[in-house]
Amino acid sequence: MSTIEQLSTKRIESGNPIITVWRRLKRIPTAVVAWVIISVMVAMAIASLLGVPLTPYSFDQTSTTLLADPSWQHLMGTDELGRDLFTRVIYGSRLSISIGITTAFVALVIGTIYGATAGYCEGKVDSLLMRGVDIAYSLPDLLVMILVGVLVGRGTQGILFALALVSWMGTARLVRAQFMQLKHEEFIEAARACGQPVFPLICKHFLPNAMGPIIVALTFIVPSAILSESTLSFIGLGLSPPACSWGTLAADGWRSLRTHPHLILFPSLFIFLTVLSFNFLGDGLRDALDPRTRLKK
Amino acid sequence: MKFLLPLLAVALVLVLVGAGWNQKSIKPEPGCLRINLGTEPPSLDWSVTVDNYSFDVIANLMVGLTQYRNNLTCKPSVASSWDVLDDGKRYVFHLRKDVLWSDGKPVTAHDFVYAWRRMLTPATAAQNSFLFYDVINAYEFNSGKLKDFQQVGIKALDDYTLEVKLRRPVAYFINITALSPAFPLRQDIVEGFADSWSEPEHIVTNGPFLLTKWQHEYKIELTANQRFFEGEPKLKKIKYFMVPEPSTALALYENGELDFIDNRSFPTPDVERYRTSPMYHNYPLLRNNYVGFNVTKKPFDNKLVRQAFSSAIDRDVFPKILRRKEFPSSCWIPPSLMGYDANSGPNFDAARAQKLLADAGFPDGKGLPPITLLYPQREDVRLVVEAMQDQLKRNLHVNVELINQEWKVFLATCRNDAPQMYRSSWGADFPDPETFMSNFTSRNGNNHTRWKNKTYDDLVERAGGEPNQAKRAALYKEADTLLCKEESPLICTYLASQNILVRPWVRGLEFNAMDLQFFKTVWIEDSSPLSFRGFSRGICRGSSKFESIKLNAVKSRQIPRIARNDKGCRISQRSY
Repeated sequence: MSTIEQLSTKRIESGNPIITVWRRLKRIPTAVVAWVIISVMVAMAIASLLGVPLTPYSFDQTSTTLLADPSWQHLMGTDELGRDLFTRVIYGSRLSISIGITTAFVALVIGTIYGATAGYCEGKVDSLLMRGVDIAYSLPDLLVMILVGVLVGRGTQGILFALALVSWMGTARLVRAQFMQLKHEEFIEAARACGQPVFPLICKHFLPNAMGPIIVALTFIVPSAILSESTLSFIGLGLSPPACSWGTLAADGWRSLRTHPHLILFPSLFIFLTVLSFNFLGDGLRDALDPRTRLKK
Repeated sequence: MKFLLPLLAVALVLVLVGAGWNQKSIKPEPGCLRINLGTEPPSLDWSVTVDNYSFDVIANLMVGLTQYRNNLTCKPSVASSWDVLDDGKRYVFHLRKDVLWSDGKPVTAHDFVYAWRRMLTPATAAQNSFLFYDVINAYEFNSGKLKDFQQVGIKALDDYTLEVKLRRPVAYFINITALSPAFPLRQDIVEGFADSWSEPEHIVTNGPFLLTKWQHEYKIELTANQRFFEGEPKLKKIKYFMVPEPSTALALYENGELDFIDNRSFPTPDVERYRTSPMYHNYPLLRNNYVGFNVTKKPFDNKLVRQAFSSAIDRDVFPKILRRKEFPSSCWIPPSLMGYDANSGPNFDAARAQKLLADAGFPDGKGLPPITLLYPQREDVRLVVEAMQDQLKRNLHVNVELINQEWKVFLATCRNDAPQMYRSSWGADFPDPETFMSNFTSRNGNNHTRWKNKTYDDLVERAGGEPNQAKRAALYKEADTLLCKEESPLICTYLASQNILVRPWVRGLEFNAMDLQFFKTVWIEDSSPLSFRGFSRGICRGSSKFESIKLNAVKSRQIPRIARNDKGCRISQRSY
């Protein structure tokens, strides 16, 4: 990965921290590539959500050309019912990407608030809150997701709710550990000594310093949420056909691995690219966000 | 990411080594047939079980009064002979004295009477009890109107003589005596062990194999029964594995860990790879697939909506999607049975379907409540219902939501309260249209559509007792038209075929259109070098076309007043 030296050039510092991070990120080639790929995927998902026709086919439109190999007419071939796989992959991105991002966002919000409270307060509040996390952790994810799926109902909302419910604990623990560590740092004590109230103290000093590990953790939540969704769909609690996600496409496609490998190749390629991109982006963001690299200059 | 490269290298080496090993290890396990059942059988209680997973195991554990041959005629079994008296209304079975239960006690007529009484007792709730409604007072007893079992027409005249009285002569009665609900039961075992009597440590059977091991959700093991009255079978052991995922089962077969796989373990796309292999066999089945409507639920309480849905389906796509030589059919009676007429069912006509839906008050599908279709979780079934969903959307502008359930849950849901639409199939219990037609009579426990029609009931009732073959066929045809075209509580889709891969060392295997998998004649040839040529022609046998399924439904010796049907019930000349 990129080194600190690479980043410490004059022009990247600016008054606005977001611009600084962006400029730093631009210096890391893998992160830029990952950023581009993720942007394309997200754009694709949004286009599909808005109903922009990117291909001449509809995702559930069957035809008589069954199991066709990739060609100019069908870029990724067709499936067992003659549906265009490219169209289905685009349609699938809508759910996979939005589930990944939403889950990560919910985990970020809930986990950070929860972990920050526990880490900042310490003592009895901390042990109470953390026992809560322990209990939530000890419940098997799949069981919770199935129960929620049954209670909330099938379909996208059910999946989103279930995944959000099982994915925030890791972030909470991480944030708590970061806060406890930072609390005894000198700059925090200095800020407190200057009389900074609690809320600005957390926002200005704790969070930016804890952000690196949180972002890295989030980049792992995104791909794991994409995969969990496919598990749910696979056991019949997720989407009902003909709706599809990359997970269901891959689950359906692997049966034909020996005869029609294109059915699994393309969905898995998209899952792979997205997961890899999120990992690279996370790595890049960690370097770009780390305030210690800024101090070193 | 640096650890990724060595990891990949290790994985590659493992794959290569694995591939190398595979080459060597494909050989039979001496004396043992290893097959995949696909799922845990819901129950081995042969009086109440209705699904074919359970029945495949039971068929090798038990024998009844009569037994099916592979050409689907019945031969004497526990009953060495029988007299047909009173114009076919009274049967007297003479039981062999050398048939023993696996604990050494003889099989007596009382065991049959007990089994039938238990099966017909309302509290047992055996769905298959309708098969016996031709026995005097059986329906009355089963529906709780009659409390005294003495009045039901089955009686043990002595230990080895069984008398059955029928309320009307029916052509297919002898076939019913070969079915699992008619098998004998040991009262001391069933009542002594209550719900666990069918576990290997308690069960007592009389067939060619014994249940020796049942590791739930993993494996059932049968071993040869040395006391079997026809002689000990050549196979020492049968192992039924329960691998639900077809691809996994196929991989096990390819690795030489299974000797025989069928549709349950054969992923649709992989059939392509084996089409020319001598290990591959395809034969037609007497199994009709359908999507039923629950007619008590809106909008399918309206006949026009049901007709519209049925007319909007183009059945010709199913063989193209499944690619296993399925036979598209819009009527309920299969082509090889009497009463079949391709025109009994509706033709595909999108314009007519739309008009019917508009007539029902839902022009272009507007105003319809949300519609759900329930299907069991299986790959080929998913493809079929997805294709239907798409056709309904395209031809009728109706959106149908698909919901899948695991097999046991699915069966329970359909039995308790079927959703608006559900996908199911029916395999023949005996080679006669009655087995299909009786499914939708109002008294039948398998009629999850809740559709009740007096005319239909009358037609099927009359056809069952009709001695004249031509008249009987006409009655069934009329009932079939009423069922599929006019009332349409179901959408018939296609007739299934069985696809098999079998290792060349499995000898003596025979196929039949009812998909009865009897293994008492099978043996494992594990010594000589194997030649594929002799094997594919000579040893595995079965019909190859739906119209020419070979059956001699009824023999005149068994039923005096009913004409012989020697032509094998060839009805249709339609080429396939």
